[in-house]
Amino acid sequence: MELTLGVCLLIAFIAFLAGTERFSETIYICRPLIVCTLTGLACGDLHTGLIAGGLVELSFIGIVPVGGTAIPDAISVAIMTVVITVTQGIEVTAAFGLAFTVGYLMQYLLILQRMAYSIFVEKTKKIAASCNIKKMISYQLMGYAIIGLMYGIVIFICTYFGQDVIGVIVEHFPEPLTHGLSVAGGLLPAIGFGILLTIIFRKEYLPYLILGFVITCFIDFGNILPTALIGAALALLYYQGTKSRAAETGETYAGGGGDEGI
Amino acid sequence: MKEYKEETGKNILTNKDFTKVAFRSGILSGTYNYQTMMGAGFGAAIAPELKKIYGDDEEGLREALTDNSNILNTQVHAGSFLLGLVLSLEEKHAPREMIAGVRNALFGPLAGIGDSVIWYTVIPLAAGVFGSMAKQGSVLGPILYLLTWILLYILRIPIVTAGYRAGIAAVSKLNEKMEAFAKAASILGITVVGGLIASYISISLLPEIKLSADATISLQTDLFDAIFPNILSAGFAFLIYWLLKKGFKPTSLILGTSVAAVALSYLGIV
Repeated sequence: MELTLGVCLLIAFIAFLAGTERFSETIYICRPLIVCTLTGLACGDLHTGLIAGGLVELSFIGIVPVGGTAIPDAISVAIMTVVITVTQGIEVTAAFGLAFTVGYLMQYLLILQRMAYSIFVEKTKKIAASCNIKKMISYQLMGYAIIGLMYGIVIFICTYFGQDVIGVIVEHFPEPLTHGLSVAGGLLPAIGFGILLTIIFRKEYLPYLILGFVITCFIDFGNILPTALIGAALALLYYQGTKSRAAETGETYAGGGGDEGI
Repeated sequence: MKEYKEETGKNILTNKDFTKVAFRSGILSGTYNYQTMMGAGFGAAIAPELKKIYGDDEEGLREALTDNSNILNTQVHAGSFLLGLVLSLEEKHAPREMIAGVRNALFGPLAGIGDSVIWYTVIPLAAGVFGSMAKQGSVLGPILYLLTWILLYILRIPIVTAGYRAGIAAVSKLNEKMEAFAKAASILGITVVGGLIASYISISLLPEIKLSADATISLQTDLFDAIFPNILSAGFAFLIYWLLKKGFKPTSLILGTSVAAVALSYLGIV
């Protein structure tokens, strides 16, 4: 399916909205699940949007803006996964693998943007010193809007001009290559989970990791809510345990803090 | 600093102001950069309330605005607490160095608690549940996911208010509870990640080993699935974890995984 100019502009507008909202962390329309659904609607293929949304969202679970690790950009991967699936008629997982190219591009653009935003340092200081409250706020909003604009332009170019290029490439893909990309799409969530684990995992948490894994393997249910509830119960047990221990010994919660990382 | 006493009775700011601050907390990262990070955004987020507090005292307002625009980096949901706390100190005209001290002392720990709740617990949980609904083609997935975030945005109103009411006593109390709370959140997060590894990493091996003319062993169903379901997924997740620990970049691992999958596909293994 070929995307018309109107549809491409609509997708670019979704990218603009998500990009603007992304760093404000307000209602998170920038998350892949929402972005994919909206892009699917724009392309007239809600179902693909939903499937892609589930896949990309789950893969980006651990990919968080913490600690400054360089990671592919989620918004552009989300949009391009839907666009490539719809225009090329290939599997969502295969499209997901291809969409990362745009994700890498955006990742470096965002690093450049943050460096460039140092120009705001002196300017915002001056505005604060002049007690211009309206301008203080509008400068922050402008900062978001510029990022949104960057997203809109990149995504428009990639969808409107890129779809033919992607089409030519995909057409010449041999079967094993498309299949391999599809397999990769099924494996990539592991990277997100891995990153998350490097941040929160400590050896003392191993029992919880094992429990979560085993429970999910044997509970035949559509989503992981049962596992989450068991996790919540374990968390509560731990929290109450620290409370009663603290009450017994008269120590504060922070008292046991020295044994981290054992 | 010692002469400062907590006065009560002359509150300038009202609940309406806290609601406004909570919604305005969205501008914290507007000009995020590697030098002052969210500093300018923090100052801007409480600027109208500072104006209300200082009124005609332009010199005081200028100091408050510039001081609160200094470097700061936090997590927005938890950081909202600091917005309220700083406003309560400003309203009581606490010494400038004390306000700066509280601001510097708390933004980091608050980021820690916010990250462990939002990024390591809420996202794995909500994305795991609602993302899997979407994967099955249900439009309820994204809708409920969006509602979760809207709810968490609204929740910043009580968080800002709590920061304002807690006052300076909050600093030591918060540090006490933070550790146990963050750990409990991590336990929930880790359990969910264990579940996600089992449900969302898919590997299926194709080769079959021919034993005799009519007996073959499928590597996937007869060997790995018979040992334990999803054992390859767990193995792959740990391989990635180990490689990340070894210092491999996520970007190169994504690339490496794709290349390896294509290569294995050509070899007829996956």
